[in-house]
Amino acid sequence: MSKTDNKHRKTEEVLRRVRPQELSAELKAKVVGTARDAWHKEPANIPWQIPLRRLAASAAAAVLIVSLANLYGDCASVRHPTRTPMAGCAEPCDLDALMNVYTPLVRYMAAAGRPAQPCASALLDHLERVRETLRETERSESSEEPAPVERKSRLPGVPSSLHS
Amino acid sequence: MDRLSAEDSIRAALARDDPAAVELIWDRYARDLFGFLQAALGSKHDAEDVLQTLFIRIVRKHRHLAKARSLDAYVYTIARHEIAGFLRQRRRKPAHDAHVDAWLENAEACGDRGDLVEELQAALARLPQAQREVVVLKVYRDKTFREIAETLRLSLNTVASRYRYGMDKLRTLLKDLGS
Repeated sequence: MSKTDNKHRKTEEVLRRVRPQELSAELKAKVVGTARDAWHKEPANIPWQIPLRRLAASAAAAVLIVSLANLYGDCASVRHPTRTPMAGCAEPCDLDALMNVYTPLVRYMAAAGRPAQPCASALLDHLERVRETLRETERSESSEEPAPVERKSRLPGVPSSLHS
Repeated sequence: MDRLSAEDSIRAALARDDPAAVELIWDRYARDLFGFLQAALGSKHDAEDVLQTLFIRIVRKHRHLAKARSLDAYVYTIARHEIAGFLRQRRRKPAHDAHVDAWLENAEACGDRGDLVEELQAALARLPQAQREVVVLKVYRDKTFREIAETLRLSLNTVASRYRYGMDKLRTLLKDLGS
Protein backbone atom coordinates (compact mmCIF):
# COMPACT_ATOMS: atom_id res chain seq x y z
CA MET A 1 0.00 0.00 0.00
CA SER A 2 1.41 3.39 -0.96
CA LYS A 3 2.07 6.21 1.44
CA THR A 4 -0.81 8.26 -0.01
CA ASP A 5 -3.28 5.39 0.45
CA ASN A 6 -2.15 5.02 4.03
CA LYS A 7 -2.75 8.70 4.69
CA HIS A 8 -6.18 8.46 3.10
CA ARG A 9 -6.97 5.37 5.16
CA LYS A 10 -6.27 7.28 8.35
CA THR A 11 -8.47 10.17 7.23
CA GLU A 12 -11.21 7.69 6.31
CA GLU A 13 -10.99 6.18 9.78
CA VAL A 14 -11.54 9.60 11.31
CA LEU A 15 -14.43 10.26 8.96
CA ARG A 16 -16.05 6.91 9.78
CA ARG A 17 -16.38 7.92 13.42
CA VAL A 18 -19.41 9.86 12.26
CA ARG A 19 -22.01 9.19 9.56
CA PRO A 20 -24.79 11.05 7.75
CA GLN A 21 -28.12 10.93 9.54
CA GLU A 22 -30.40 8.10 8.49
CA LEU A 23 -33.89 8.23 7.05
CA SER A 24 -36.81 8.13 9.41
CA ALA A 25 -39.93 6.02 8.93
CA GLU A 26 -42.06 9.19 8.95
CA LEU A 27 -40.05 10.65 6.12
CA LYS A 28 -40.53 7.48 4.09
CA ALA A 29 -44.29 7.50 4.68
CA LYS A 30 -44.51 11.17 3.78
CA VAL A 31 -42.38 11.05 0.64
CA VAL A 32 -43.78 7.78 -0.72
CA GLY A 33 -47.35 8.93 -0.02
CA THR A 34 -46.79 12.25 -1.81
CA ALA A 35 -45.08 10.52 -4.72
CA ARG A 36 -47.91 8.00 -5.06
CA ASP A 37 -50.45 10.83 -5.07
CA ALA A 38 -48.45 12.57 -7.76
CA TRP A 39 -48.38 9.33 -9.74
CA HIS A 40 -52.18 9.04 -9.67
CA LYS A 41 -52.77 12.72 -10.37
CA GLU A 42 -50.24 12.94 -13.15
CA PRO A 43 -51.98 12.93 -16.54
CA ALA A 44 -50.73 10.33 -18.93
CA ASN A 45 -47.97 12.18 -20.70
CA ILE A 46 -47.33 9.55 -23.30
CA PRO A 47 -44.18 10.64 -25.16
CA TRP A 48 -45.66 10.44 -28.67
CA GLN A 49 -48.52 12.69 -27.60
CA ILE A 50 -46.22 15.52 -26.56
CA PRO A 51 -45.18 16.69 -30.06
CA LEU A 52 -48.77 16.34 -31.27
CA ARG A 53 -49.99 18.52 -28.43
CA ARG A 54 -47.31 21.10 -29.18
CA LEU A 55 -48.29 21.07 -32.86
CA ALA A 56 -51.96 21.52 -32.02
CA ALA A 57 -51.17 24.36 -29.63
CA SER A 58 -48.99 26.09 -32.27
CA ALA A 59 -51.71 25.72 -34.92
CA ALA A 60 -54.35 27.12 -32.57
CA ALA A 61 -52.10 30.07 -31.73
CA ALA A 62 -51.46 30.74 -35.43
CA VAL A 63 -55.19 30.65 -36.25
CA LEU A 64 -55.91 33.00 -33.36
CA ILE A 65 -53.24 35.50 -34.46
CA VAL A 66 -54.42 35.51 -38.10
CA SER A 67 -58.07 35.91 -37.03
CA LEU A 68 -57.19 38.82 -34.76
CA ALA A 69 -55.18 40.46 -37.56
CA ASN A 70 -58.12 40.09 -39.96
CA LEU A 71 -60.52 41.48 -37.39
CA TYR A 72 -58.26 44.45 -36.74
CA GLY A 73 -57.94 45.07 -40.47
CA ASP A 74 -61.74 44.99 -40.91
CA CYS A 75 -62.24 47.42 -38.03
CA ALA A 76 -59.65 49.80 -39.44
CA SER A 77 -61.23 49.78 -42.92
CA VAL A 78 -64.68 50.48 -41.44
CA ARG A 79 -63.34 53.46 -39.50
CA HIS A 80 -61.54 54.97 -42.53
CA PRO A 81 -63.64 54.17 -45.63
CA THR A 82 -62.14 54.98 -49.04
CA ARG A 83 -64.03 57.71 -50.95
CA THR A 84 -63.09 56.57 -54.41
CA PRO A 85 -63.05 53.03 -55.59
CA MET A 86 -59.57 51.62 -55.75
CA ALA A 87 -60.17 49.90 -59.10
CA GLY A 88 -63.12 49.69 -61.45
CA CYS A 89 -62.38 46.61 -63.33
CA ALA A 90 -59.52 44.39 -64.12
CA GLU A 91 -58.64 43.69 -67.73
CA PRO A 92 -56.24 41.12 -68.98
CA CYS A 93 -52.84 42.60 -69.57
CA ASP A 94 -51.76 42.79 -73.22
CA LEU A 95 -48.09 43.66 -73.38
CA ASP A 96 -48.04 44.56 -77.11
CA ALA A 97 -50.99 46.92 -76.75
CA LEU A 98 -49.31 48.59 -73.82
CA MET A 99 -46.09 49.01 -75.81
CA ASN A 100 -47.98 50.69 -78.67
CA VAL A 101 -49.64 53.14 -76.33
CA TYR A 102 -46.48 54.05 -74.45
CA THR A 103 -43.87 53.87 -77.21
CA PRO A 104 -43.45 57.67 -77.65
CA LEU A 105 -43.16 58.14 -73.94
CA VAL A 106 -40.64 55.35 -73.65
CA ARG A 107 -38.54 56.84 -76.46
CA TYR A 108 -38.60 60.26 -74.87
CA MET A 109 -37.62 58.83 -71.51
CA ALA A 110 -34.80 56.87 -73.10
CA ALA A 111 -33.50 59.95 -74.91
CA ALA A 112 -33.70 62.08 -71.77
CA GLY A 113 -32.02 59.48 -69.66
CA ARG A 114 -29.18 58.82 -72.06
CA PRO A 115 -25.97 60.75 -71.29
CA ALA A 116 -25.01 63.33 -73.96
CA GLN A 117 -22.32 62.15 -76.38
CA PRO A 118 -19.34 64.54 -76.54
CA CYS A 119 -18.84 65.93 -80.07
CA ALA A 120 -15.33 67.23 -80.98
CA SER A 121 -16.38 69.91 -83.49
CA ALA A 122 -19.03 71.31 -81.16
CA LEU A 123 -16.49 71.47 -78.37
CA LEU A 124 -13.99 73.31 -80.58
CA ASP A 125 -16.63 75.82 -81.64
CA HIS A 126 -17.58 76.39 -78.04
CA LEU A 127 -13.92 76.89 -77.09
CA GLU A 128 -13.40 79.35 -79.90
CA ARG A 129 -16.41 81.36 -78.79
CA VAL A 130 -15.09 81.50 -75.24
CA ARG A 131 -11.67 82.69 -76.47
CA GLU A 132 -13.30 85.37 -78.59
CA THR A 133 -15.27 86.63 -75.64
CA LEU A 134 -12.14 86.77 -73.49
CA ARG A 135 -10.21 88.71 -76.13
CA GLU A 136 -12.98 91.25 -76.44
CA THR A 137 -13.08 91.68 -72.70
CA GLU A 138 -9.31 92.24 -72.55
CA ARG A 139 -9.47 94.81 -75.32
CA SER A 140 -12.23 96.75 -73.64
CA GLU A 141 -10.36 96.73 -70.30
CA SER A 142 -7.10 97.94 -71.84
CA SER A 143 -8.87 100.88 -73.57
CA GLU A 144 -10.55 101.98 -70.33
CA GLU A 145 -7.52 101.75 -67.95
CA PRO A 146 -5.37 104.96 -67.77
CA ALA A 147 -1.89 103.52 -67.55
CA PRO A 148 -0.44 100.18 -66.66
CA VAL A 149 0.78 100.17 -63.10
CA GLU A 150 3.63 97.94 -62.11
CA ARG A 151 2.34 95.41 -59.73
CA LYS A 152 4.34 94.71 -56.68
CA SER A 153 4.30 91.50 -54.75
CA ARG A 154 3.02 91.75 -51.23
CA LEU A 155 5.36 89.00 -50.17
CA PRO A 156 8.50 90.02 -48.24
CA GLY A 157 11.55 90.53 -50.42
CA VAL A 158 13.88 87.70 -51.10
CA PRO A 159 17.38 88.32 -49.62
CA SER A 160 19.98 88.93 -52.28
CA SER A 161 22.23 86.26 -50.92
CA LEU A 162 19.80 83.66 -52.01
CA HIS A 163 20.02 84.76 -55.65
CA SER A 164 23.72 83.99 -55.86
CA MET B 1 -31.73 -7.94 -3.25
CA ASP B 2 -28.68 -7.11 -5.32
CA ARG B 3 -28.36 -4.07 -7.48
CA LEU B 4 -29.26 -5.59 -10.85
CA SER B 5 -32.31 -7.46 -9.64
CA ALA B 6 -33.52 -4.31 -7.87
CA GLU B 7 -33.12 -2.40 -11.13
CA ASP B 8 -35.00 -5.12 -13.01
CA SER B 9 -37.87 -4.97 -10.52
CA ILE B 10 -38.07 -1.20 -10.84
CA ARG B 11 -38.01 -1.38 -14.63
CA ALA B 12 -40.73 -4.05 -14.64
CA ALA B 13 -42.95 -1.97 -12.35
CA LEU B 14 -42.35 1.14 -14.45
CA ALA B 15 -43.18 -0.79 -17.61
CA ARG B 16 -46.48 -1.91 -16.03
CA ASP B 17 -47.14 1.69 -15.01
CA ASP B 18 -47.47 0.37 -11.49
CA PRO B 19 -47.31 2.90 -8.61
CA ALA B 20 -45.56 0.26 -6.52
CA ALA B 21 -42.46 1.36 -8.39
CA VAL B 22 -42.28 4.32 -6.00
CA GLU B 23 -41.53 2.08 -3.04
CA LEU B 24 -39.06 0.03 -5.03
CA ILE B 25 -37.25 3.21 -6.04
CA TRP B 26 -37.30 4.32 -2.42
CA ASP B 27 -35.81 1.05 -1.20
CA ARG B 28 -33.13 1.14 -3.87
CA TYR B 29 -32.11 4.80 -3.79
CA ALA B 30 -33.47 6.74 -0.82
CA ARG B 31 -30.70 6.02 1.68
CA ASP B 32 -27.84 6.79 -0.70
CA LEU B 33 -29.64 9.80 -2.09
CA PHE B 34 -30.31 11.13 1.40
CA GLY B 35 -26.61 10.99 2.29
CA PHE B 36 -25.73 12.54 -1.06
CA LEU B 37 -28.23 15.35 -0.56
CA GLN B 38 -27.10 16.00 3.01
CA ALA B 39 -23.51 16.23 1.86
CA ALA B 40 -24.38 18.56 -1.00
CA LEU B 41 -26.71 20.81 1.00
CA GLY B 42 -25.07 20.57 4.43
CA SER B 43 -28.45 20.31 6.11
CA LYS B 44 -30.71 17.43 7.11
CA HIS B 45 -33.94 19.39 6.79
CA ASP B 46 -33.04 20.79 3.39
CA ALA B 47 -32.13 17.27 2.29
CA GLU B 48 -35.55 16.02 3.39
CA ASP B 49 -37.29 18.75 1.42
CA VAL B 50 -35.23 18.12 -1.69
CA LEU B 51 -35.73 14.33 -1.37
CA GLN B 52 -39.49 14.82 -1.45
CA THR B 53 -39.29 17.14 -4.46
CA LEU B 54 -36.93 14.70 -6.12
CA PHE B 55 -39.33 11.79 -5.75
CA ILE B 56 -42.17 13.80 -7.22
CA ARG B 57 -39.90 14.72 -10.12
CA ILE B 58 -38.98 11.06 -10.61
CA VAL B 59 -42.65 10.09 -10.62
CA ARG B 60 -43.41 12.72 -13.25
CA LYS B 61 -40.60 11.39 -15.41
CA HIS B 62 -41.21 7.73 -14.73
CA ARG B 63 -41.75 6.90 -18.40
CA HIS B 64 -38.39 8.40 -19.28
CA LEU B 65 -36.87 6.57 -16.32
CA ALA B 66 -38.21 3.28 -17.66
CA LYS B 67 -36.28 3.83 -20.89
CA ALA B 68 -33.09 5.14 -19.26
CA ARG B 69 -29.94 3.18 -20.00
CA SER B 70 -28.77 3.53 -16.41
CA LEU B 71 -31.30 4.07 -13.65
CA ASP B 72 -28.60 5.19 -11.21
CA ALA B 73 -27.28 7.84 -13.58
CA TYR B 74 -30.77 9.09 -14.41
CA VAL B 75 -31.84 9.34 -10.77
CA TYR B 76 -28.62 11.08 -9.72
CA THR B 77 -28.84 13.49 -12.66
CA ILE B 78 -32.30 14.55 -11.48
CA ALA B 79 -30.92 14.80 -7.94
CA ARG B 80 -28.10 17.08 -9.06
CA HIS B 81 -30.52 19.32 -10.93
CA GLU B 82 -32.70 19.55 -7.85
CA ILE B 83 -29.66 20.36 -5.70
CA ALA B 84 -28.56 23.09 -8.11
CA GLY B 85 -32.06 24.60 -8.16
CA PHE B 86 -32.33 24.48 -4.38
CA LEU B 87 -28.91 26.08 -3.86
CA ARG B 88 -29.81 28.79 -6.37
CA GLN B 89 -32.96 29.57 -4.39
CA ARG B 90 -31.08 29.48 -1.11
CA ARG B 91 -28.49 31.97 -2.33
CA ARG B 92 -31.31 34.45 -3.00
CA LYS B 93 -32.30 34.30 0.67
CA PRO B 94 -29.59 36.22 2.53
CA ALA B 95 -30.91 35.34 6.01
CA HIS B 96 -30.38 31.58 5.51
CA ASP B 97 -27.74 30.00 7.75
CA ALA B 98 -26.66 26.79 6.05
CA HIS B 99 -24.55 25.39 8.88
CA VAL B 100 -26.91 25.50 11.82
CA ASP B 101 -28.60 22.22 10.92
CA ALA B 102 -26.52 19.12 11.76
CA TRP B 103 -26.43 16.37 9.16
CA LEU B 104 -23.79 14.13 10.68
CA GLU B 105 -24.15 12.00 13.80
CA ASN B 106 -21.90 9.75 15.85
CA ALA B 107 -21.38 6.33 14.39
CA GLU B 108 -20.91 4.73 17.82
CA ALA B 109 -24.14 4.51 19.78
CA CYS B 110 -22.45 5.20 23.12
CA GLY B 111 -20.29 8.00 21.81
CA ASP B 112 -20.85 11.45 23.14
CA ARG B 113 -18.54 13.39 20.88
CA GLY B 114 -20.45 16.40 19.75
CA ASP B 115 -17.22 18.27 19.09
CA LEU B 116 -16.07 15.65 16.60
CA VAL B 117 -19.35 15.83 14.71
CA GLU B 118 -19.17 19.60 14.53
CA GLU B 119 -15.54 19.65 13.46
CA LEU B 120 -15.99 16.97 10.79
CA GLN B 121 -19.08 18.71 9.52
CA ALA B 122 -17.20 22.01 9.35
CA ALA B 123 -14.28 20.34 7.58
CA LEU B 124 -16.54 18.66 5.02
CA ALA B 125 -18.35 21.95 4.49
CA ARG B 126 -15.06 23.53 3.45
CA LEU B 127 -14.62 21.08 0.59
CA PRO B 128 -15.94 22.01 -2.84
CA GLN B 129 -19.32 20.40 -3.43
CA ALA B 130 -18.02 18.10 -6.16
CA GLN B 131 -15.28 16.69 -3.91
CA ARG B 132 -17.63 16.40 -0.94
CA GLU B 133 -20.12 14.34 -2.96
CA VAL B 134 -17.44 11.88 -4.04
CA VAL B 135 -15.97 11.58 -0.53
CA VAL B 136 -19.39 10.94 1.02
CA LEU B 137 -20.37 8.32 -1.56
CA LYS B 138 -17.01 6.57 -1.15
CA VAL B 139 -16.62 6.73 2.61
CA TYR B 140 -20.19 6.55 3.88
CA ARG B 141 -21.88 4.55 1.12
CA ASP B 142 -18.95 2.25 0.31
CA LYS B 143 -19.22 2.80 -3.42
CA THR B 144 -16.30 2.04 -5.68
CA PHE B 145 -14.77 4.68 -7.93
CA ARG B 146 -16.30 2.93 -10.93
CA GLU B 147 -19.79 2.98 -9.41
CA ILE B 148 -19.44 6.65 -8.51
CA ALA B 149 -18.21 7.43 -12.02
CA GLU B 150 -21.20 5.66 -13.58
CA THR B 151 -23.65 7.22 -11.15
CA LEU B 152 -22.41 10.78 -11.56
CA ARG B 153 -21.57 10.38 -15.26
CA LEU B 154 -17.95 11.29 -14.71
CA SER B 155 -14.73 9.69 -15.85
CA LEU B 156 -12.93 7.35 -13.51
CA ASN B 157 -9.92 9.68 -13.38
CA THR B 158 -12.09 12.66 -12.45
CA VAL B 159 -13.67 10.74 -9.59
CA ALA B 160 -10.31 9.50 -8.33
CA SER B 161 -8.73 12.94 -8.49
CA ARG B 162 -11.71 14.58 -6.75
CA TYR B 163 -11.46 12.00 -4.01
CA ARG B 164 -7.70 12.46 -3.68
CA TYR B 165 -7.89 16.26 -3.52
CA GLY B 166 -10.79 16.07 -1.09
CA MET B 167 -8.99 13.67 1.22
CA ASP B 168 -5.78 15.71 1.09
CA LYS B 169 -7.66 18.81 2.09
CA LEU B 170 -9.53 16.95 4.83
CA ARG B 171 -6.28 15.52 6.15
CA THR B 172 -4.90 19.04 6.45
CA LEU B 173 -8.05 20.23 8.16
CA LEU B 174 -8.31 17.23 10.49
CA LYS B 175 -4.68 16.65 11.39
CA ASP B 176 -5.35 17.49 15.00
CA LEU B 177 -8.34 15.17 15.17
CA GLY B 178 -6.58 12.16 13.68
CA SER B 179 -4.04 11.84 16.46
